[in-house]
Amino acid sequence: MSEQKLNNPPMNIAFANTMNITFYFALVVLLGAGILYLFGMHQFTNPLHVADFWGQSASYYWMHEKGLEPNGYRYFMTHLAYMDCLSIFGIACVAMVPFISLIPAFFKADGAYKFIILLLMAEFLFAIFKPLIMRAIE
Amino acid sequence: MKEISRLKNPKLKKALRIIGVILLLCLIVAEVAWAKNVAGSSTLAHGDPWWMWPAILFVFTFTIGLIAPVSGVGGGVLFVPITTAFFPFSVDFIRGTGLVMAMCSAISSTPHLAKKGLASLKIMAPLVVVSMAFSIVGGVVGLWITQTFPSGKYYIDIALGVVLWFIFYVMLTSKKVEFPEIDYIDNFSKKLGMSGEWYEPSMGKVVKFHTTRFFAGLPTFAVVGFIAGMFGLGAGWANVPVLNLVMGAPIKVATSTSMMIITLNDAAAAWVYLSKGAMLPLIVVPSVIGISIGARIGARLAVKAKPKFVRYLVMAIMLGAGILDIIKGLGGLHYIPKIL
Repeated sequence: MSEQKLNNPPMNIAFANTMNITFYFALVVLLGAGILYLFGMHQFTNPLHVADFWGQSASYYWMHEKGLEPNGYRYFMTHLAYMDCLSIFGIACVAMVPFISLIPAFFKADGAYKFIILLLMAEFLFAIFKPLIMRAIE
Repeated sequence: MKEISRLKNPKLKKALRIIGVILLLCLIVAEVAWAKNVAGSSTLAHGDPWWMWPAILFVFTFTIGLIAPVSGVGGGVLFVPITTAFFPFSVDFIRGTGLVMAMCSAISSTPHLAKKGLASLKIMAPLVVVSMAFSIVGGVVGLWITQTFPSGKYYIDIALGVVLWFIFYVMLTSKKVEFPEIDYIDNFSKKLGMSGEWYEPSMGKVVKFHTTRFFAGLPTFAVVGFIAGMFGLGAGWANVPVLNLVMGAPIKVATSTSMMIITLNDAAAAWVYLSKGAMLPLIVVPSVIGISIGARIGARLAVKAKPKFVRYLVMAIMLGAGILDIIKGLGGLHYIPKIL
């Protein structure tokens, strides 16, 4: 029996289709750039130095490795020509997939689910923009 | 139609098998080449070449990928505690990587399950409104502890060990009910229409399901969201029994919808880790590749292996890792001699 014969809500199908397409794009960026980084192409962080500090907290690592204080996304978004930063951007793309999948689901949803999905999207946006909002407040 | 599928499937399976083997060989060659490329030119102060740990990580996550589908234990639940106990990486990077791993495996399986009607947005969405908020808070609190207190990472180690003991207890005691009986449906679930259906091939018919006791399940999802965000764990170990035993979802629906829940919870928490720089490609990339390849082979092994024995073995390993995490944390705080 195909899924068309099931009484599967359209928002479920829309969510699934979008997730399927966007995930593979994000994974290619994450792994493709990551493998090139491991092979030594355009490295923002030297693997030897990474190994010196990877036992320390994330903030200590970035401060001592690159003199950066990671509080937002500038530390990798401004260096996308480097493969390791592009790979981190790939992680961001993967983490964006569920949010993107919620958008078509929102348009297919009816009744209370429209509001619930909107709420989910608002929470997700808060997770993304929280560091930028907090920095602006500080 | 059946004849066509019989003819097509073996060919497809053979092709997939060949692609899988080629991919595996390519990655092994890539790992060795990469290791040789950098060997000798860069070594750590204490003599270990830097590439050694990512290479071991690849083998380790590949092994987790093999075991996880056979045992029914999620990869993230094994990865985070064992890596914390035995690898030199900061717990910040391990939790960030754990989230990416759990997220990748959940996102890759959710679309298929959602199209079949097994993973339901109708059940997932109202629960995740609460659990996602708590997973964001968990991520913030977890990173705040390690970055604010000099000994913060040791407190996280101890807390992780304790959480593992709790997970062990839940896994040991919770039962699975294939089709739970529902005697009533609460008003909220009824109004939202938290129900669905899927085609069950073993029964040859469409099975309809409803969920109930929404407000009894909600606090658990809040706690689970917090734990997932704080420790970088996927949370199938808790989602499944609550959906199945408390809310009355059939076991297949519970496991599938749990995957859908993990996609949103872990993705939201991952943004917190990203913004704090707790994701390193040197750790994430070998881990994601290792577990992805391992899980594909593990899924085939699951058909032949004895899941009960493997499940208990993995749970014992998890318990051992929990003890080691506590020892590591206590050693770091100088309550006991440092041995890890």
